[in-house]
Amino acid sequence: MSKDSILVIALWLILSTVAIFLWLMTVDSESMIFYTHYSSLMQIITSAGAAFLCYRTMMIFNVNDKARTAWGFLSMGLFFWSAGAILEGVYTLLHQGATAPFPWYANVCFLLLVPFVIMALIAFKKNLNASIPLKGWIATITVFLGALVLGLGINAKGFQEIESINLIITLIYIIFDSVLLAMAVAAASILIGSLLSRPWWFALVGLFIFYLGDMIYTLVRNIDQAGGIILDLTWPVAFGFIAIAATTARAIYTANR
Amino acid sequence: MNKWFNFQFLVLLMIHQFYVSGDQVLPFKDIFVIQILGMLIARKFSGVAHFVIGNKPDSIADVWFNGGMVINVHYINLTGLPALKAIAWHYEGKLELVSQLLYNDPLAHYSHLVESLVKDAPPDMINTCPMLMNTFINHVKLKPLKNSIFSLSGLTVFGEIGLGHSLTNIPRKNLSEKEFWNGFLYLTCHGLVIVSYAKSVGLSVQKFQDQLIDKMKTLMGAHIADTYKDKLWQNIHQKWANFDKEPDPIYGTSPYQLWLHQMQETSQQVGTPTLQKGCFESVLLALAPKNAKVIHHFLN
Repeated sequence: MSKDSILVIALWLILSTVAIFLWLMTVDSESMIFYTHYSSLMQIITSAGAAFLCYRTMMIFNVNDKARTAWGFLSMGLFFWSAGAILEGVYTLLHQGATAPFPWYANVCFLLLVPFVIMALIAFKKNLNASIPLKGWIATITVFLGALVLGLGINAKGFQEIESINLIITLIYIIFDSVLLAMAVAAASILIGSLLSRPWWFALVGLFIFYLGDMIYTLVRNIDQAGGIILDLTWPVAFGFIAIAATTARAIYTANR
Repeated sequence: MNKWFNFQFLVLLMIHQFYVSGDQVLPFKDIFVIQILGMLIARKFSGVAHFVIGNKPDSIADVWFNGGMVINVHYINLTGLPALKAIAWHYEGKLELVSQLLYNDPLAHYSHLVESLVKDAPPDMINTCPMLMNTFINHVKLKPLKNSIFSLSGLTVFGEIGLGHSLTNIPRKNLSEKEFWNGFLYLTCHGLVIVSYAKSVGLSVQKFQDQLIDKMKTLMGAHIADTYKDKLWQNIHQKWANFDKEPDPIYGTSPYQLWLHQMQETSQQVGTPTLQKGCFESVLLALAPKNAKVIHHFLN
């Protein structure tokens, strides 16, 4: 594991430990607002940090290399998510700790992550110039259907009570995230067993946690509840894994180019 | 009447197609034209060997064969033995073989001309084509050499080849360097022994490919490595239709050069180009000095 990856893990552990400590200290009290602001800041730092590390990985490739495009798209998607986190953080700040409504402008930014990551995966697949193996297709379809069913299952309770706009946004989250996961599996299946697959496994774990975070988020927002510490930690964990994927990929490319 | 004429024309065309079959125009390198003729003699080739000498488009030579015997040679405005003399020691160009049934009489004194060509060749002739030192020599058949001035040296070299031998490792016995090379050239120019790069350059290139694919497997996985291999052979077959694992020795080193260049080009078509470039360079650096020299020679 590269030094950068170790640094990412250390930083993530520090940020999470502080979050858990603050939550334990302020839960069910008036001071909970400190935790809420800290959590917003953590979402911004982790997503922007992951975006920066993806951008840094992008910069080691030549302008004509499609791997550069792939990491560039990934970086842009994360920057959009980060912009959404800033919007939500500002809303919370201006409304004495109240959570932003759902759906809201921040959701446009959050959802923009998905098409950019999908474009990144397409660029990466093109960069490899290799077809997806049969077992890769089987895994991709299985993951897509599994994620879709799981997403619908998690949100089933909320569906009965929500308005049509919420329903559409929730369905977009579920479908986009399922596509995202399936495409990540497809890209990783080309590289199974290789050194280059390592960053993709990290990215895949990150995207799966991201998907779980989104599913919990849509559920709690639709039934008008706060997310709690678990939801607050899922996205930073997801971005932590994506950041490790970026640093691992950078280390592999630097050592072998 | 018109229909009958068309039918006759069609039948004649079919007969012509049956008896005349041309191969691709393919490059040859690091093998003397006279040695190529020796191989065609050994194969009892009938037809025409079209040469483009030294890759100059207007430098065209044609050699006609009947059952492994040279019927005639034509090169620019020369015919017969002078034409043969002019092309004999060129070792790079293009070659197209057109199989055809020819019934003309063989060229008189061909064997004596080859003898005089070998005798008159400068002592460092072999050095004009240094890659020849990497060839592997195989028997074809022993013909009586008693009328030749090279009988003794030819038989000595022939006797030392055994089941096949690397040219540089053939024991010289009591032959001088000049006698050894004369004997060797005489045998190859008559098609009594065949020079091939398959067990020297071919093995080096094969080893390089294996190491490259192993490195690709480690770095980018078996799927990318397999895709690369498939694409590589697809690219090679586009440029050299009948390329086998052991290409026809008549073309010298050019099939191996093509193989290596395609390996380099294909590495930019499959897998991440940045990593592929690194892969290629690291395998080149890890080669044993002897193999590295050969591989670098063809890549430059």
